[in-house]
Amino acid sequence: MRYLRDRIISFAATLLLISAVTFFAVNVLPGDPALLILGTEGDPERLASLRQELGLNQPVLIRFAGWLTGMLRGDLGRSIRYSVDIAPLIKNALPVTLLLAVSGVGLALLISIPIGIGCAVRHGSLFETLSLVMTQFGMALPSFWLGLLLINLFALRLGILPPAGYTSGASLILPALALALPRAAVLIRVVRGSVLDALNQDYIRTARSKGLPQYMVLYKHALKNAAVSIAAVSGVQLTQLLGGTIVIEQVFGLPGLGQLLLAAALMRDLPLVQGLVVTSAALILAVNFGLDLVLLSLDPRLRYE
Amino acid sequence: MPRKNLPLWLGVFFAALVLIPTIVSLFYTPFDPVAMRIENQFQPPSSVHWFGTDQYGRDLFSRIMAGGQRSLGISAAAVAVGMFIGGILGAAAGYYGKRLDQLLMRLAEAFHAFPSILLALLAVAILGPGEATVLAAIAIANIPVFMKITRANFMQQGKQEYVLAARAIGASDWRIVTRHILPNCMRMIQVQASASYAAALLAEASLSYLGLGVQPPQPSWGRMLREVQAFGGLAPWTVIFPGMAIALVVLGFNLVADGLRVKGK
Repeated sequence: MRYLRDRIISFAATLLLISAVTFFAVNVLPGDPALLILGTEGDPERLASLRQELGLNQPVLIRFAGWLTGMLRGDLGRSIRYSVDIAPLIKNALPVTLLLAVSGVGLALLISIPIGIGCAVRHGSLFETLSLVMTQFGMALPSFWLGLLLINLFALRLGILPPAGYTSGASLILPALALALPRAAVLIRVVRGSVLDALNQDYIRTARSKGLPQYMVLYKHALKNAAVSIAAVSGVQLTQLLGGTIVIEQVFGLPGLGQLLLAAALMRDLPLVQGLVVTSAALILAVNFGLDLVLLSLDPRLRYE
Repeated sequence: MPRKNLPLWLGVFFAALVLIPTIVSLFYTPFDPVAMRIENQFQPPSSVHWFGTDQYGRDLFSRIMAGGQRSLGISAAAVAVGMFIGGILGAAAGYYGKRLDQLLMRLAEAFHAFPSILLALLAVAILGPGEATVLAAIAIANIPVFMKITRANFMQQGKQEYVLAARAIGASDWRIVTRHILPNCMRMIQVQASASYAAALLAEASLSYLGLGVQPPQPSWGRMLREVQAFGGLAPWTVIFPGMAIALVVLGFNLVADGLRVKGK
């Protein structure tokens, strides 16, 4: 319980720190945000009204406090370019990104667990060597290039999947695959390493000597202990994707958080950028928090550290 | 060297396959990488145009040679800056410990939770797109990485007897750090630098693909993929070759990192 309390405090403190860094990066670093948004050629009257709208006449700390309390009520302010509230914009884009990130990591796990276990079981075999060589190539592939190649093959040549846009679940297959393959390459190595470690332990020999069949030894005993490192690495991958599907969203024209952020950054819609960055950071921290709990339940020894 | 270090030398080989043509491109390319000849567009690979031509009839081989200049340069500068700042902060945290350590590590955790692409977009919103923005974003993303690794190494080395011995004979902190501890951390820093460089190259390519990094007419691999995206079905070579250049050099530096790691043990 003490551990849990510490984690909650640390979660809140980190989120506050990130909010502060984001707010001051957007509001203080550029000097005058209104000037940044409209450009130096801006009409003085519009500049003045924008300063009014953004509340720039107030001291920066008051604005920060206002923004924070607004966020607690679920109010992220208004987008300058779209002239609408930010919260609904994010709410519409969020499911696309979440689905994409989760299916990317899920697919990576589906690919990597059987291959990784196969490598560990047949340690020293040709299968293992070939798999490890493939993982080196997989890790080097830029996922957006992989996406372009997948579109070329499955959409343009074979015509079996949609090339771009978000119309149905099938629209997510290729993007998820493009995200999954490089991550599966990393995970295969993790699965192989941790299963190999587990297989060398005494309790596996005990399980074998009491006559447990191979699949029980592997899936019930070895994989259970390997699960801690697999969960840790795939959890980190999930957090990276929550802020990092932007390139794949661009390749496949998916209306997720990344597309919204890219447009906001290029149009200098500072309130929207600020809202999106903090939302993504909060998601990432929440997943990290959940990951800690999962790791704790997988390995009770961690509770005493 | 007891055994031949295959990953290291394979890595050097793959990286050289890309690095050497890039260096040569500073003095010589078979064709002008930016000269457009529309009547020449979408030529498939041939003995004249090894990698074919793009939608403006530009020679892809020459463009890929020259495209490495900015990608490799920006990534190298970004990793160097991140390594320098992160190294100093990490050394201070690891060597002096206590309060400073806690403060710095809390900051590093917060930054580490931030995916580098978010950082890059925040930078674009403030500074506008361009090479300097990408460099700054990748450098900042690398600071906590090098900070953590230097700190861990300094903490570990700081407890060793040779440091105690050096202190006993009255060596200054500066001398202990630069002459004694740092040389013992070099291997890990080299491994991290190589892996970080591979990651930085991927990040730079992604950002240029999004149109946030290198701007035309200067060729860059990421930007080239952005421009030919619509023509992938018509002229697949325009998509295949720039991506291969990125993958090859990333593979090379990942293997070098693996090789150095094995060698260090």
